[in-house]
Amino acid sequence: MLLDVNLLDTELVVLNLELENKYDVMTVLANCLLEKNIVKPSYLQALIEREDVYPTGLQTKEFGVAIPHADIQHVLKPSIAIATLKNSVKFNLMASPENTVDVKIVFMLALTEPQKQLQLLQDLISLFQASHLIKQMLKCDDRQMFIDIVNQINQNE
Amino acid sequence: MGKVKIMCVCGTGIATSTVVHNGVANMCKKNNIEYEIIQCKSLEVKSKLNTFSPDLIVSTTTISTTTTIPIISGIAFLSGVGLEKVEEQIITALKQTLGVI
Repeated sequence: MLLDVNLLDTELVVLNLELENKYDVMTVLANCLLEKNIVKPSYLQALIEREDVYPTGLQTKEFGVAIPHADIQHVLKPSIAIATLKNSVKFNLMASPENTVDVKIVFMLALTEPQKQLQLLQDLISLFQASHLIKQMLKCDDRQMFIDIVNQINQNE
Repeated sequence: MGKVKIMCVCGTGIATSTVVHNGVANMCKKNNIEYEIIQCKSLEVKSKLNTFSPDLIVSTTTISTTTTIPIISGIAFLSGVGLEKVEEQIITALKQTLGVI
């Protein structure tokens, strides 16, 4: 469940970032995870290498989102970091890496045992598809309020 | 009916393939299809084709290995866009494998 404080807390939410490109976004989020001892120092490099070969941009019904992540050996404990962006950056699409999608919200995953974290993944997917929540998240400028919005996904189920 | 073997593929074999695995398993249950599913990384597809011999591949990423096994995109499980159509494609492919259509 996203509500779990171990998985998502205010220090892992960065709102209205003004950055140039996806690499800057990934660096900021990976550093959040690193500072909280959630990932190993090797995570960022692994993340970027992976994103270049197997991109994680997704086009949902109304929004572009990205879910960058690295192999489990670079992760110490399960978590998720989220950034919203003032100006969209381009991520390449998972389904067709030659194409890009404009992304204003990025969910960085740190997974250790995916089968046990299936609920987190499912909640996240439900969240992508809940356009009304994504809209609120993009407008939000308070981290606690942001987490309250995210947690509505659990209540909707 | 026999059992179908499905391989769910993504870039790291951990995140999106887990979601696809769960989605495909639910589809099989709903349609009373007996199944066996494995997850793997895109890079492992070549070796797993020999060891697992899947009937169908559902992938969220591009697969560079050439194979005659049908490959269906699993992106709809993530984006929600076109999920019904993909469900239909998967079930049709599985029923063809089983020789029931």
